Amino acid sequence: MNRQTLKQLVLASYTDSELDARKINKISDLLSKKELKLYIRALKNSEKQNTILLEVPSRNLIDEGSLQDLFPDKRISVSVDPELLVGMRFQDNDDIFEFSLKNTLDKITEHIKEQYD
Amino acid sequence: MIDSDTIIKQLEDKVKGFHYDAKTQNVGKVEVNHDGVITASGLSKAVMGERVVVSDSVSGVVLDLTEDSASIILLDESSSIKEGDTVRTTGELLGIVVADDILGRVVNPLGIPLDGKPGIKKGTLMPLEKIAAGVVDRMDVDTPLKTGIKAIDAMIPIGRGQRELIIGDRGLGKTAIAVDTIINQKNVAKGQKKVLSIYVAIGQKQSTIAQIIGKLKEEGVLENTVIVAASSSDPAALQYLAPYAGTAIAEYFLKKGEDVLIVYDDLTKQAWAYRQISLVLGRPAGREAYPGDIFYVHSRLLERAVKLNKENGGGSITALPIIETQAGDISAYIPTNVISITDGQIFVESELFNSGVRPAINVGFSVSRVGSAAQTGAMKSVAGKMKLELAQYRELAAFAQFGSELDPETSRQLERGKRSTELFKQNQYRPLAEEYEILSIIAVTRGHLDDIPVEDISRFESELHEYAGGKKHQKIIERLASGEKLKEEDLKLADEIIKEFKKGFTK
Repeated sequence: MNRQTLKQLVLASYTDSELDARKINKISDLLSKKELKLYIRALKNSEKQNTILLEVPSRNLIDEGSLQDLFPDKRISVSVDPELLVGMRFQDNDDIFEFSLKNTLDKITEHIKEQYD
Repeated sequence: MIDSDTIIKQLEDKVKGFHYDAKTQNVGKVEVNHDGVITASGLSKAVMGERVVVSDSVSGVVLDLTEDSASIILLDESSSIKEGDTVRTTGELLGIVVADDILGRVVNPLGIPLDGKPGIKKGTLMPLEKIAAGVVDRMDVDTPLKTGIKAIDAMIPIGRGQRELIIGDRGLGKTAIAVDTIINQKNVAKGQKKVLSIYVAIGQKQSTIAQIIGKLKEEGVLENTVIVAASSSDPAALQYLAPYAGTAIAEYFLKKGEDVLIVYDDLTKQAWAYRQISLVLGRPAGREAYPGDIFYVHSRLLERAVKLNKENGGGSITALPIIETQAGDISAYIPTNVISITDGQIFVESELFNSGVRPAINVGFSVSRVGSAAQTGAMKSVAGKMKLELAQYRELAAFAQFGSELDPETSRQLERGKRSTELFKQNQYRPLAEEYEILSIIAVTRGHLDDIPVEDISRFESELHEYAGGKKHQKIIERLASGEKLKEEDLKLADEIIKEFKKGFTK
């Protein structure tokens, strides 16, 4: 199975931007074990590309509606990490953007350490 | 008691220069870990040669990029890395932090000290991979780099900025030649810049490296030398990167206009390390199972040896790569590659070594393609015909084995050849200053040794040097050391000294 076929199979697994269990079952029945592994990996990658992972110190600090406006084509998955203190960290596919107080404090610590050295 | 304003002021000073940037990172996940080489998915923004961090602890370098994965060589112990671990890009190309105080230090290819002293944190980050200086920035090799080894300085001269390969089987003194050359750099010739040395040990035993460091220390040259060590117990990635790290250090000093000598000991082991990495990466294997780009691995490294023109600081990097052959086979893949890249080779031979000729340099197979332009006038005027005469002697000696009847001229040539060969023998760690090398060559080429028994030549030479080193002969020694072309009257003066010495020499 080449990359092109794999991409087409992944695209065919969606109905209205959501994974379609019926289609996936149908496709997986037709694949060998090796091909199935590749297909699962490709589905995972596709899901990763379609999802924004958002970490915040507290759920009260965000407005999910306005965030959805920022990423209209993507699903937003929110989790809580109190260590961030203030701000947020989000992951879009394989890029991580960190706008948190924890990151700022870490950077200041690093800078002071370098000054001491 | 410090008041609050002072405390705040001190804190403010500490964070001065701090710039806040939102942290952005490109991440991926480990899919496979194959003995120091990992394949990671994600990392869509990684670039070739970029440094990455695996599991927030182990550094690696991106060596292959495909549409949905990156192959990374790990620069540290890799057994703890498992599938699913996070890989983060750093946005930095792999480099080594270099400062002036790296001289006298022993570091690994990442700049981590191996001598127990503190690390070099403040300095310039020099990239390990860099495109070599272009033709416009270069100039001809015109300054000699003295090895202190008579046979080399007279017949296979090396110039600053040259790449001269040292090739031969194991245990024949290749490293000895390189180490002697480093030791000789403590003798700075009049009017010439000092030469800093970098010794890159690749895939060697720790004990051998320790021995070399000890010797350099004993000879007082370690303070002008940097040792970059990737021993045989280090990961293949470090052994592959070691020569590039050494060159990056050399380029730091080159930028400052310094002359640098770099020894790669040896590139055969670097090629083995690269072959190992390439096979694990699944790259197609070529001749002797080396990957297709093995030539480029060596050529891009040795091309960084350079003599810069005055506008670019006038510094130089002289490279002495070492290649180990198997049973003297210089037509194997790696030897032929490196021979074609370099500007000449010094070939050490087991037959010569076993017959007591040390350094065991085969003058017939050795050549220096650009060094003669850098040879001093003084050396040129005495050593011009030496190489040809010695080659003729070897031929004659081979023929003379078959018959006893020889004409007087052939006998004379054979006797002279024996003495020349004996004279070019030199003890390890005893590099000679150029003036004494010239004096020895005058002694043999002008027939002063013809009546000295071969077994006394070595003693004759050392006693002659001692005699000529006295205050009485300072003028002629200075003349020989000046590097200028010798006139007939200079040679006559040297003849007189040798004759005078011979009167008191007991055979």
